[in-house]
Amino acid sequence: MPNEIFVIGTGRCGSTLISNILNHHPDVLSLSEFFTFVTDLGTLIPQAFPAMEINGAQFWQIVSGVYAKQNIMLAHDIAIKEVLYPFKTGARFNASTGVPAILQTTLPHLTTEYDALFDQIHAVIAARGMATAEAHYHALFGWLAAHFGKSIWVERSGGSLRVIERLYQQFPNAKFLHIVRDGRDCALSMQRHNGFKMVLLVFQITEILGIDPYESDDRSWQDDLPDELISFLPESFSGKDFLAYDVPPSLYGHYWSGEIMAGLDVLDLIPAAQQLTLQYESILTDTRNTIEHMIQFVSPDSSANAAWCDAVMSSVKRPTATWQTLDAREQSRLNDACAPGFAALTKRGIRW
Amino acid sequence: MSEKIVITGGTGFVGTHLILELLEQSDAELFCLVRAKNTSAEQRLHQQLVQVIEGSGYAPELINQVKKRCHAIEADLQGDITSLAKSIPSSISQFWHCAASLNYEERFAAEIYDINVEGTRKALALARALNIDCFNYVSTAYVAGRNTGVILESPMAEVQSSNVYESSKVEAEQLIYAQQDMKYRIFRPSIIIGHSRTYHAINFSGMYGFLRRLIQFKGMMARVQRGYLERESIRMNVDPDVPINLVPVDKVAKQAVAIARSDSSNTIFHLTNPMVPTVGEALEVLFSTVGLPPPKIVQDTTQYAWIDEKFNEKIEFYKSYLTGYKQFDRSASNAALGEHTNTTRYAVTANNLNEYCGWYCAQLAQTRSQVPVSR
Repeated sequence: MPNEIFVIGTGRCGSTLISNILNHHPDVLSLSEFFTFVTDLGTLIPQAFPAMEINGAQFWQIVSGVYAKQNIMLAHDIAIKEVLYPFKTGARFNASTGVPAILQTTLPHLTTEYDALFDQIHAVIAARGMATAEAHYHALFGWLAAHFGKSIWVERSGGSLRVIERLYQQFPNAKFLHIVRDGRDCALSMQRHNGFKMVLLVFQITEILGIDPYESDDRSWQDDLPDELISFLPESFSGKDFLAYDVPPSLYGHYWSGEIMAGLDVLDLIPAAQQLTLQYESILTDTRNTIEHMIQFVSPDSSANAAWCDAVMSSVKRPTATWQTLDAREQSRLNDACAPGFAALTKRGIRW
Repeated sequence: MSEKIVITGGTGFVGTHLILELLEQSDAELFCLVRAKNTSAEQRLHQQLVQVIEGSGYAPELINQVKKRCHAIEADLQGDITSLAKSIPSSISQFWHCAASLNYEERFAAEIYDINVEGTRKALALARALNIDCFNYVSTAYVAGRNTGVILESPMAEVQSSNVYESSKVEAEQLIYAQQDMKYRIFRPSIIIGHSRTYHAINFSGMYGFLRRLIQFKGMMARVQRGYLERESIRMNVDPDVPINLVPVDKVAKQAVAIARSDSSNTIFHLTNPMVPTVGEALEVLFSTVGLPPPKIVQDTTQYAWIDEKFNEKIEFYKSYLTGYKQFDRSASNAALGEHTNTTRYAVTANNLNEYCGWYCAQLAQTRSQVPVSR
């Protein structure tokens, strides 16, 4: 059985870098954004982990689902930048057909033959009988690792602290690599990311309508929607209004704090030997030591670690945006918003 | 021969209670202009009235009176209603115009204007065609807009309205003032809440809309950061010591009917409540009902954090009811009511406001679905 690892963190914590560099390790299968898309940007988490046993066809529906939120973003040309599937270039799937969840990023991240791999996986999953979602996920990830001749798989999805409780329940023996980054920079970066904007818009609309408008056509409470949110219902969606809609960094700061506090509560339940927390900033400032430390956690017995470190050192680039570029008022608000998250991390000895 | 009365808005909050009061206090026959929706106009009217009879604790025998004396005439105020004069019996004495749009978002502006202003114009034309004795119009005390101090029961001329709903009601009143040869009365209730004994309500704008915004905002923040609003008070820049004029719907209906049956020659009547809580007291009850600490009242908005700004934006419509001291003069109402001026029965206090809010939250929990926070 392959070693199972999850890279977890808040949105925009720098974990994409981890997926990208691990993708070059000969022993590691890097599964990128798998749970981002099968949970439709984290809004359908319970649906991705059904409590009852399901058959292969039902599991395939979860994995290959054409989900509403991620696909309306493709249709309006505001796809998140992590989408790798070439949906604009005459490929098998496009914005009109919708792109299946596993094809948005995960498979194109692994191979250029992603459509063929998609069909192979379909055949494998469809043949499976009744099992828990946990068993199906283990089988899928194990099959992929074997298919690519890897002994370790590492799944990483942006903002996956939100799903950590489910992951730990389903994969109790997995190791968890927790990447933390200054919440103020995460917030600023989330503000510039269409996926997190979409999530916050859906949060607001869902609370007003009492339903997820992308999953239900019940509009009984639509009169309560303020004018500014009407453009984000699926039936009246406007990409232009989406781009113009401004959410200040401080809301993302609150979101970051919330995710950190809830995530740390779960991490506290996970044995110390199964988790490692790394600060993203250390990867930037003390690159060699930090990635060595990380690969020892991920793949302690691999003889390829040293060569891999040499090879990926130059991939580590410093991001351009920092929260200090905000004006004094927004900096102050962002500090306040992130304070609960920082306080929770400080208790674990993590400081900035 | 019994009196004949025409009513618009008979399935609405005030309209239903007004009909029940008229059924209780007179032997009048009522002709209600009602839209047909999924059911016929008559079925819709009767169902709504039965719901209010049962929910608000009216005598059950009123159901028979509804069936016997309440007749629905299918009509839509956004269409042509003047031609209905042919299908309404002659010798109508009173016309009650209660129909209104209570929306306020800008996207509803045309509809609000159409129903509240053009609808009133059409109702007046129909009333004239029916040659009625008196046109009774249910307006709002908040035609006073941003005026403060003593608000008289007098025509509203130059006024700065707080929103499109208020300005539509001002304009509708002005259409009525212009009637030269038709007797009219204008009733101006304040913020209408549920029945004074059962707390039952069928319209959930006004205070209920505020409560819903609060619940929605709390829910949204729970998705962002669990427990945040339970720990941190929202800041609000309101006037905590001014009264917030909440009036039970049964008081509005009872007093409107009593005034209409009086010999008062006045034309404008405040159906407001002299015994109400302050804004600070009311907010404390509302916040506590949804499980939040009371808001922190601040002197200016520069003290707002982003969360405060966002919350205050979401309840902007309600801000005009939370700021500025308004004392609604009731001289004309009290004079017309005489011995019927019973204020204590309808007092709204912090204690019973809690019951009104609790009733609504229980209703919401039964009728509104909720999506659990996805984790």
